[in-house]
Amino acid sequence: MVAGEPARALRSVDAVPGSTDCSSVPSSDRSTDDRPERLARLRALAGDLSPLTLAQDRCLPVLSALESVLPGGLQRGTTVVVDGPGATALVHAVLAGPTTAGSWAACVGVASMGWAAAAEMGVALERVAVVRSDERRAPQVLAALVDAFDVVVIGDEHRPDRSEIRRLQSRARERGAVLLRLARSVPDFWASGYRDREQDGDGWGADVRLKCGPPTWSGTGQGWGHLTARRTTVTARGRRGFDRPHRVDLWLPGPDGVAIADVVTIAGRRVG
Amino acid sequence: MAPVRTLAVRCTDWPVVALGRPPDVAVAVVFANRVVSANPAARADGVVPGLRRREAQSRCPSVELHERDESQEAREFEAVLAALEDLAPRLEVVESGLCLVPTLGPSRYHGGDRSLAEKASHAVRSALAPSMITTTRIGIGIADGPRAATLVATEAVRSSTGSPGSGPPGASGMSGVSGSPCTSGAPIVVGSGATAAFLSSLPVRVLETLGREPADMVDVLRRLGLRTLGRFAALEASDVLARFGAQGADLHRLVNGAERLPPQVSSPPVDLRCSTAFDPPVEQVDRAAFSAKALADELHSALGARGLACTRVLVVAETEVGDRIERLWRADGALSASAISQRVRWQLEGWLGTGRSRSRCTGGISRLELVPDEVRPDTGLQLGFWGGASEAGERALRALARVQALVGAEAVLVPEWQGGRAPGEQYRLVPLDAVDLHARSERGPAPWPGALPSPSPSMLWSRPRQVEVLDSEGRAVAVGGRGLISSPPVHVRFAPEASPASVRAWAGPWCVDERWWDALAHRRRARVQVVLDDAAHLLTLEDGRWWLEATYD
Repeated sequence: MVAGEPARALRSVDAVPGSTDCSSVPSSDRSTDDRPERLARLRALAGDLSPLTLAQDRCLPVLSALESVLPGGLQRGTTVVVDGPGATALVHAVLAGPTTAGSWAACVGVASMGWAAAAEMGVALERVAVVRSDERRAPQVLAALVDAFDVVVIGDEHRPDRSEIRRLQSRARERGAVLLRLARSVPDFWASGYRDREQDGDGWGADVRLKCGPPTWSGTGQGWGHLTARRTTVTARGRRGFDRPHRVDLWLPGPDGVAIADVVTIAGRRVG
Repeated sequence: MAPVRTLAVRCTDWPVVALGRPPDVAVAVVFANRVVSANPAARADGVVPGLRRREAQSRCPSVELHERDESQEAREFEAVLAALEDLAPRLEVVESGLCLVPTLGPSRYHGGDRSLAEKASHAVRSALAPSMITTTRIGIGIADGPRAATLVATEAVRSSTGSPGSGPPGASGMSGVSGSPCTSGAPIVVGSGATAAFLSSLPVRVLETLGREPADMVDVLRRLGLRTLGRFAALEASDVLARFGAQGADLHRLVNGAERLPPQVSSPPVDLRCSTAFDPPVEQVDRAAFSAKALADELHSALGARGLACTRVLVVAETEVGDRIERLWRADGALSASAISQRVRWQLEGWLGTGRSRSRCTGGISRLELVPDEVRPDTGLQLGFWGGASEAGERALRALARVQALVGAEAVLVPEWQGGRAPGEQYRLVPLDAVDLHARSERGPAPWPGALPSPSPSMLWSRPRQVEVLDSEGRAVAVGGRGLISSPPVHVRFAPEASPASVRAWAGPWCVDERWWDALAHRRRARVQVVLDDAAHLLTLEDGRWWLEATYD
């Protein structure tokens, strides 16, 4: 508690008409002998009125490999858009941190998500719920989910318009939920690959945008082996705290059954 | 205080009986990949409860496997309950296939315990469809206390199928029926105070019918060399308490003929009953069950606020024409909120569903009421939702209940491990209501033979898309009967008009030959992993056509 706070609290109490017993006391009757008691009461009131929230309490934890692109973790109330080739795996990796730490995640519009891959990436599936909804009811469903869940994944099969996105985001800010948008356009994917993802993510006005670079798969040759590991570059751009893009080279998944790892920390190991 | 003399009616294998399949077809019911119930035809081929799905299919390839449908079980059992209700007004349902009747009044009315047992046996048999009678075995027992009666009813089932020898001491079988090859055993009436003597000759295995915790103890007892309940009863009570804890001491008292005393709380507070009115009256089970869920939560939290837990709950429904129907549900332990709402749902299925029961509602339900009939201090027997009452979990569950009201209960799903070869088979999405949130099945430890090694593809196409896989000459790539690929794939074309994408690396083929013994379900597939410029895909060849099955996105 800083020394200046009681005075600020005094002002704020006076500004509330008729809210406390203090305001009912005429200012001329204020004697000096009950001032300590009144100050103590105000101090308690000030504590109630302006709860002190540290920035780290407003963040959900993420895996250590992602800390360089999401410093401090997933900030509550923000929107994170994930796109690029490998976006689904990156969404799994982002989900793994909060769900293992006890947070709940709800997924909407993710009919093509592979849950085995999510489990391998470390997502605690016992705290994941999936809702299948048609377009008509999706706004109501999302509003209900944002109220209660820490992370709400909005898959590419649901494409809300801009006004719905704005309503959803203000609700998420108020409730402290993280909106995680998996940006992809499935019908376009067949014709033009991954190009259309970027436009899809635009309407979201993301606080953080994670973009996967071109992947390099290892483990396969010409008819031998099997896919084991992928190397990719994840770039994070954002509004606050991102004066320049953050970039990290990741194994997603890593060799030898490692779910996700920073290339620097795993450097020096030979990958077959 | 003496235990309440109770009649227990047990119909074995009710999950498979409720399906109503003809008796000559081998049928089994599976739950969480394990067989929970099998009919005689399936048992003859060695399909017994506890087997994995694959084991059951390998023992009896023609076996029909059904997923467990507890709603249907409740609907069918309601017919049996309605028949028994003519004999005794006060029934306690434990689960579908097992119900209890306190005999004090009814046996005086019907002329003694034996007469009541015989009438109950006739009533149950007349309520069952002919195909059901051949599938199930009916056991009826009367003893001091509900759990002793349950054990006696189980013994009645066993003696009807086992060797017709001399009955255990203390029992008095029905004259004229014993020894005849009848599908339902003769009712066993154990005299008052003779429970311990009757139970002493039974094998300890019968304790398995009482629930999960006793079943865990049975194994230990057998390894200790205690094969009969009499040997177990002869142990010192203090030794049993030291070795097995309160649960074991409780069972020890039971086999010594002393039923657990009724709960300490004399009578439940009246103000704990919860009710809800429906306007207009509901006729669909789903709508009523949804309100019942909120009602069960309300009751559970009201009880929890007083530090109480409910072990018996009375479900009351009033119909629009003014009828009032009620049914008592009992559980051995404390009922959690989800357990209460589950039982109410089953009961509503019985009243409103399309079963054959006579006790169906005369119209829509206009009012539903839950009365905690027997409460006791809550010692924390059951965990909260999702293995612990975390605040975030309860909040999430409430939100999901709201979402269920919006989109329907079957659209709110949770991923559940089931195992399988194809990447899409390893996890499946099951409705939230169908999952026992206390016992989520964890990922199995053993690798599946024939499954691809990790990593799994992160995107599974719900509608696989046909693609073309071409070699360097532009010909379609094929996989021969011996699992050899005709030529290396060089190009993949996702759409006929699209330009082909070049393959940088590939691996495979991995051939899978599934259910070759079944002409209809037989599938032969070959899988190939291909790495293109921007993504890696899993392609499947079946019947000469290539499909994009999954993407490593």
